Amino acid sequence: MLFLAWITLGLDAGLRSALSIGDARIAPLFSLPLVVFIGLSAPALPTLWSSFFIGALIDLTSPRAGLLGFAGGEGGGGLGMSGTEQILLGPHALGYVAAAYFVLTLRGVMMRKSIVALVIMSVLGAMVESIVSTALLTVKSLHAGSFEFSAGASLVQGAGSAVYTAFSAAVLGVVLIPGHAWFRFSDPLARRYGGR
Amino acid sequence: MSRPTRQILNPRSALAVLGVLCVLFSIAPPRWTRWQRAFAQPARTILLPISHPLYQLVGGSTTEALPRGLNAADFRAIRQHHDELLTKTQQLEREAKGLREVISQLQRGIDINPGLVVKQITAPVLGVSTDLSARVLQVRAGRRTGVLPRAVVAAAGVHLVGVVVAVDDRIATVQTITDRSAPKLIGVVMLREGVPGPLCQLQERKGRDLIFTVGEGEFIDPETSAPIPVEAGMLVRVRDDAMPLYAEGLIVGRVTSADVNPEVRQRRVITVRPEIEFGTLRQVQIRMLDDASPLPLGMESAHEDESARALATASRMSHGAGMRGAVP
Repeated sequence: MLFLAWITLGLDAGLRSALSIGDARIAPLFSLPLVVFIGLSAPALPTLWSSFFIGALIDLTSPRAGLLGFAGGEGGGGLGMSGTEQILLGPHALGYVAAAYFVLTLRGVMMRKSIVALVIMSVLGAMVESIVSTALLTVKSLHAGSFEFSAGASLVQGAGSAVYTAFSAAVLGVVLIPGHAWFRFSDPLARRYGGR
Repeated sequence: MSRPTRQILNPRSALAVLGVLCVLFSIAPPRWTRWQRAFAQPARTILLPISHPLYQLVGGSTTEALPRGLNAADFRAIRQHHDELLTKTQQLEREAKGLREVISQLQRGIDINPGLVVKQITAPVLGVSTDLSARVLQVRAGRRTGVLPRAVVAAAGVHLVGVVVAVDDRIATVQTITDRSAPKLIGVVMLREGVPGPLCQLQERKGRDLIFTVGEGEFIDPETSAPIPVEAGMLVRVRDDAMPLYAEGLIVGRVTSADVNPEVRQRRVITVRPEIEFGTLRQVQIRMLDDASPLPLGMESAHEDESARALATASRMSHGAGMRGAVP
């Protein structure tokens, strides 16, 4: 599963820009369908932890440039000053946890080994992730010296990307669903009803 | 471990604590969360072996329109050669202007250091930010190759991409000019090649497009004596005193539309689109001062007191100086 997470995060970092549509940079997420797949199959706690780590890795590989960029860095002006790169751990980590929690809440009424369920939950999960991460980034951007951020544009991008994620979820579903048994998830429903 | 301690340190409560911490990080001022940058490099190192080959595999270089009857490779080669020549001309003109100033200072008996030497490093692009709302590039060049914050980044040698905002040993983070947090750039609209027109100041960014306000005034063509309006298709080049000198003359983009400013009727608003799609660049050139060569007098001050230069440019913008009358 770690290997799959690495692959999907690599796809996010490497392919999203090339697959993006329009000026709003609407692009599919590859790691979120994996989180949804885990959420549909695995017990709650491992699902939440894995979603947190995947989201945290996205946060750590999403640097933002601060408002003082060309003018000389955080410390003032002149060459050789420290830069204004900002790494913000939290928005995507919590967004992914929220998306995973959303899947955990609804998985009881879904057919868990269905590609359609994976696609639908991925689209909805991506919307939840977008809302949570946008909210946190908006709060952060209110601080002086922080980055400039448009919540509206981010939500439009998030909604578009969520719909586009249906494509990546379908592709991943074709690979993941038939290989469901390889992951040896402990079945939460079997445990609840006293055995397999 | 005692029972109460185990109850507190279980995975569920640990996750809840991390969640609360993440919320606190999100609302804390940036200076309190600066330490998080220490974790960014290991995270990049984990992902780069997979993300970089994929990025290089699917990345292009430009997304410009192709004239009919010309194949893409030839067109790009011709355009690049053309742009390089024009940029060199611009830089030579500026250099000549600088030299004239140097001569006048020499005549006043001031010692002058040798000229400004720009070092240029070509560096592969490792990728963009995973979160596409931040328009930031990461390139494989760092302190080990001599890159410093505020180095100017160009594509195809002549197109301005942005400025280095952070550097570690091997990787530099570049804030592109289309990033919302990037400062308000000042450029000059080229009425024809070699004929600089009005100054324009960046007001806002809409996706890939940059919206500039153009200064007042009318430019008269010296050959035909007819006014030259700012219109679509004209190039915009950097002429910003707040930017390092070696960014001067780089191409910001091409005007795609020109309208009357609804707020100030005498001024026009132009939409400028960079000719390079920053999200698919494979390599960039990082331009910076060669440390081995000292700055000439007069240029030193440009780096030491750039805020004053920025104010001077802003003043030129607001008073319209240099924008009225005939084309020089």
